[in-house]
Amino acid sequence: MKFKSEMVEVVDGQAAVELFFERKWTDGLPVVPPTEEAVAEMIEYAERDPREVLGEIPPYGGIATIEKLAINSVMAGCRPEYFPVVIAAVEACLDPRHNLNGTQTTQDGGEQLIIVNGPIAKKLDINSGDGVFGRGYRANGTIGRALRLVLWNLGRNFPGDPDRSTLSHPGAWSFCIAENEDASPWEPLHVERGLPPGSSAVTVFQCEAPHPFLTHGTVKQVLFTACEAMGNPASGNRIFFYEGEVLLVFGAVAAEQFGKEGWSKKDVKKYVWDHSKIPYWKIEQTGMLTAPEAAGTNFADLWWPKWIDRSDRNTLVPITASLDDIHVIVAGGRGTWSAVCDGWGLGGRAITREIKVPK
Amino acid sequence: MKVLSPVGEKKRIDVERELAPRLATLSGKVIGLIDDGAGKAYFQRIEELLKEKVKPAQVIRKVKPHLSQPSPTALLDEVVKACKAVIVGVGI
Repeated sequence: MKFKSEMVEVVDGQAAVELFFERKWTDGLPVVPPTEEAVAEMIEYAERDPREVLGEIPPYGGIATIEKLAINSVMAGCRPEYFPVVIAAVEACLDPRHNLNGTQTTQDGGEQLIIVNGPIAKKLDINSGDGVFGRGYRANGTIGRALRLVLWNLGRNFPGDPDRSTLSHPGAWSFCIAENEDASPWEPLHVERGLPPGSSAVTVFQCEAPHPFLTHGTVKQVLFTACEAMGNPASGNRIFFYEGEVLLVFGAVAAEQFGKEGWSKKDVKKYVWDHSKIPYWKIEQTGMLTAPEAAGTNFADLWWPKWIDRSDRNTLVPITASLDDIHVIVAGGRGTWSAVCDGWGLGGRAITREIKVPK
Repeated sequence: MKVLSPVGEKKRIDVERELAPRLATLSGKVIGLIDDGAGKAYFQRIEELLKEKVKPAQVIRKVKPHLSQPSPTALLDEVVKACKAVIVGVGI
């Protein structure tokens, strides 16, 4: 296979690892040296043309070719079978509705979460159960990592230069899970979002680190707690309404309860949207609406829908513009924990892409 | 052993090495302002201060369509064609 990328001569693997640190070709963790053989194997498995262009990664604008994605996937430690998943994740990030320039550089702390659905998850042993947001599985760790390295090396959004993320979170190293479809009483996320049953897909959603909450008892009890966790007056979603989304992750025990009491996903979304509203005065109190970035105006004047009545300071403000902006999945082990992951508000919308698995 | 570089080439010119020549003064020049979308009051004040202290020939004010995306190339081309210097709001 002929490669377009620059080739560097190194003494051995250890020297390659050090070189990549020196050249800032990795974001702080060591990488697997990308040899021609390993990169070729990655590309051949996916049956793609190495010169195929997916787009340009902001802010630097590095051109994302299959070759570059394969190099970064080898560096991440991916097996060739993982590569189609990585490609789908990058495609999702390049969807204009994701607003990759924004997600790469915003002050907001969100990072791209990859949610994998379909038969590929079991085939590749992508964890969806115990410790789903943690460590322990090569597929989760390296698929997540491959996306991060692509965004780092082609986008060059280094901390402060020009990525202004104030805090970021550990998902910036790797952030990839599979939905626990077996434990879910509902159809899988990607089928809900329009893909055929039996297909495999990724959904990429820019979000904060998971905020866990204990989920016990009846559905009403579970959702009461979920709404308490979701009703955060100071989330980045509050500033801009029109692209704010939220992800609710229910653990297996809570998921089972929804099944027992016959609650559909739509029932759940409607309930939490109705019951997680925040009094307007609390959001105003945070000062975010008249932050310096609003330059003397008020973000609510610029971005909030007109149907929110701000003349009454007790008006209850929903956490998103519509209940359709709340995504619900089942993930995690058989324990009494669930989590909420807040979106950004100016992009990073959940984007679903089918994974093109070679024959 | 040989390893491949992971970093990308880009289509756009390397602007870090192609800075436009600096102006000796802003007086009498056409100056552009690109508001990021949240900066109306701020850019209003900048326009006032420019006219008061610097006396440009003209101030052209534009607003970029999305707060966290770069200005579209067409907007940049239009402003660069009309102005000698531009103050650009980047966004959040």
